[in-house]
Amino acid sequence: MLKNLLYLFCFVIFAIILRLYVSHFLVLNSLTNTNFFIFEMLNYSFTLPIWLSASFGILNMILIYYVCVKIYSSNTLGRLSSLIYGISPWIVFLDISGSIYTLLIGLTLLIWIFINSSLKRSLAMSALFSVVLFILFSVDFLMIPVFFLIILFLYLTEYFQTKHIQKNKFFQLMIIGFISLLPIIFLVIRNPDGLRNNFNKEVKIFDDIKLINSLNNLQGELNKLNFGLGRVIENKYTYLGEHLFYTTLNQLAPATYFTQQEKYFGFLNTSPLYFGFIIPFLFYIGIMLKKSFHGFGLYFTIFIILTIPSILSLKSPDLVKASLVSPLIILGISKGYMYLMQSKNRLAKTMLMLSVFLVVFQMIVFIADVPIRESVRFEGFTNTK
Amino acid sequence: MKKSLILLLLVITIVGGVLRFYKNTENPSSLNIDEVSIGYNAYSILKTGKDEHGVFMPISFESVGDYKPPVLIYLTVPSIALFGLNEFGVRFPNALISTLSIFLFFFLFKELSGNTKTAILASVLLAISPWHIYYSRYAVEALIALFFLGLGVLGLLRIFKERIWIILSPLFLVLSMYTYHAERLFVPLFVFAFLIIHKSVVRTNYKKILIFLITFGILVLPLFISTIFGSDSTRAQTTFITRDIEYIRTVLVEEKNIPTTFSPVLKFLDNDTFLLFFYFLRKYLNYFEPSFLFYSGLGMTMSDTYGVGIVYLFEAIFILAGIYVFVVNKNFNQSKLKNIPLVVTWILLGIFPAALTQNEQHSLRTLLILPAVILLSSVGGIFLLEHVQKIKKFFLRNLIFTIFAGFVIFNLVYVYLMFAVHFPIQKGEAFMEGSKEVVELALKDKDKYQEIIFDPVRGVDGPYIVSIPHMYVLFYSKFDPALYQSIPKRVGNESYGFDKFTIRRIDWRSDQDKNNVLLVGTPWSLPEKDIKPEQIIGRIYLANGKLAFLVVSPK
Repeated sequence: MLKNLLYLFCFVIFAIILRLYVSHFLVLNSLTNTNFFIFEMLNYSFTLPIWLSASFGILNMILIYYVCVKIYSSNTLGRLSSLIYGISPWIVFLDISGSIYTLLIGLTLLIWIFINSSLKRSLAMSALFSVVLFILFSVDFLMIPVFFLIILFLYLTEYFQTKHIQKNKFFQLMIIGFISLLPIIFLVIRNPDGLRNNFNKEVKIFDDIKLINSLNNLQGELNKLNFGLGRVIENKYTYLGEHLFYTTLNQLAPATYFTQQEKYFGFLNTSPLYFGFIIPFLFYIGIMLKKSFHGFGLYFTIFIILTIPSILSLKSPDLVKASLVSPLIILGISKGYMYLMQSKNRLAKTMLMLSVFLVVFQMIVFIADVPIRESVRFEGFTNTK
Repeated sequence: MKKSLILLLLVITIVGGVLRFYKNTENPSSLNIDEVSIGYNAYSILKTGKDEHGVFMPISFESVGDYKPPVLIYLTVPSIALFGLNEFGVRFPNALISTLSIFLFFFLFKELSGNTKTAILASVLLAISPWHIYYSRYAVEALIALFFLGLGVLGLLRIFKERIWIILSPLFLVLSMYTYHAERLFVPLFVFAFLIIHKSVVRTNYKKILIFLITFGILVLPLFISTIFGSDSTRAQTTFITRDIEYIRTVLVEEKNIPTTFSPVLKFLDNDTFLLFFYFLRKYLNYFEPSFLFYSGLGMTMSDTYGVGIVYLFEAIFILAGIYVFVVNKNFNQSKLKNIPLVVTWILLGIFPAALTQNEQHSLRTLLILPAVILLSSVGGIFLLEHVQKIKKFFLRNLIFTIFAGFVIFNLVYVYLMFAVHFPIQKGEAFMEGSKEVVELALKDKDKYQEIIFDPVRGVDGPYIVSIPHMYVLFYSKFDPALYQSIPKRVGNESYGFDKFTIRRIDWRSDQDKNNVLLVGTPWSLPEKDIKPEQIIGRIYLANGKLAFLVVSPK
């Protein structure tokens, strides 16, 4: 136990040093500041200070460790997940940018813990859970459908698997969810314009002017022909439906998470997650497909639900909003590493070494690049903003 | 092989052939720069045995400085002899070879999967593949290279069973390397991977492999020498990833902006090579993006617009199921799938050449992975079909089939509309639409003028597309190749001329005073408002209704 805590302490210290180092050269807060949903409803402006978002980030490291120990009963998995969470540029940049998503990640992890540990225990636990949920819903209203979809999906899965549902637990969760929603519903009734403004700010999937222009062009070209079926195939609704589908598919592209993306704070030359992590992650996906298709389906669906805020944004995938899935991906990477470490297969051993080499190599380049070129690139990007 | 199977394959091939040959001279709307160059060089070889620069039977055609691979040009020679120097003559080899591919690749799919049903579905998917159809409707080397590559891999798989393939397989593989640049990197890597994957069989058949490798080495030697020491290295240098505009713009930072105060160690760790490596990885992974795969990979429409991906959207379901079968690798269609590692290797290595070059997500440079992608899709398709057939509830089973059939039809019509309606309108200019008409107009009264001047820069939205009008003049005037090789050329600073044709930028302010001159240019160089109506000989419009060219006689 002490050994594990010592490891965790070292990782936390390293993560803090890394964040201080990066924030010394790159000041990101101007890019991600977003108000809390509830404060907008109250016509009050509040943004998360960087020190607080960074603190949430560090707390998340501890939470992710706790999730692994509590739910998967594995200290090694916990240590690995916590370390990967601490050193990933995706999270580092998020933590030092004052983003509300550092808080949202923590709250999602807490809900994960609550759902897995039975809620039956006490009224106090239920009350605590209500508070966590209330904060979650208050930060971003998109977390409301995310939460209810996950609960619904979990119980539907249970029903289809066992033809039996733990009705009490399901209704308990739903009731707690609705009770947590009541203050927000009250505020929405009092200030519907606030909700509309927030909705317009958060849901921008169909607002891309380039897309709308291009759809108009396509329809214009088609209208010149007298081809009836064409209008059935190509109309605003089919295109927007397709856009939604493609945007959802885009959340699954490995390049989004494992290679550098322009959409994340401009062009940061480092990938959100080090490229080397893709090897254990793919191994994990492969093992899940092989051993537990049900587990894969569960993982996949929760992944998609957690990316809803990113799907609905203008420039999707939005890596700030998609950060909600970061614990899920990191858990996959850690489990993949566990498999590679335990396997006696020569290929697995080679892949493990290759992965570790790539991660260490990219991390060193990242540390060197941040002060030398990244700051220059980033300055150019903020100037254009 | 059963007669019914042959008949079925013939039907699939004919359907595929129709999709490739139907109106292939009109859509794409015009011969592009490479096509006129290929056509005229083939014509030149036919008439004189030499290319446009007077080099006898070259193994690399200098053309307009891009050093084209030779095979397609030589294949076009009989086609030009048969059909003449025209659009059909140039596009016929691609359409024919791609149609033949449908029939012959069945055997490749059968050999790779060991399963007839999968091979049939793969042939169907190949016949209707938008990726394959698109590149078979105009002259591109990559499609011919793919044909040879497919035959080479088929031979490689049969090398231990039939002796004939010991010689034929390296022949086809090397031929594919002579045909297109991407194969030059891919084939050696793939052969190496094949030997590793089949190392146990290789050990027992080392004599056959030795003969294979020696044949391969001998055949590839001239190409190797040309690539390392000759003209082909120019091509490699001009397309290499370091020339990528996004890499230069965003990954590298101008030296003058980099602070000088940092330690040498930090500077060493942040060097260009390391950054290039990670940029390459990014380009590599980008090829797995849904946008490339399903809705814009072929670039048949303007950017930021929905178009056509390299596979149909309905194949997304097949591909996911295919990945599942590949990973799980359990009994499939009553037999275990063969060659999964080889198919996976094919895809993973096949993206390497494209990722090492400039430009984002290049569907032509990755065309060589098409058989592997089609096989993956068809494996998934058969897997799903079997599972749906197992559903006992009649209504549910038929409901699934009906919904899926509706989705497939929706997809097919959508892609048809993209090909038939939107592509000609949106991408006409990329295929140099209007070049034929403008050259024909200029040639009509050629004798009336002392000089005909073509502006090489075009573009309806701005003068940013550099064309090669002299090649269109050579092609559409059927200029005698022997004469062209022998006459003196007027090569100046940013100008080129032969006979009475001159290619240079037009400046209306000075050119309007010239006598007996015909000017051919865009409204950017020939501003319509400054030109008298009687001076305008003709106007050429694109399919989208925009004015592309003006033909003007100042005096």
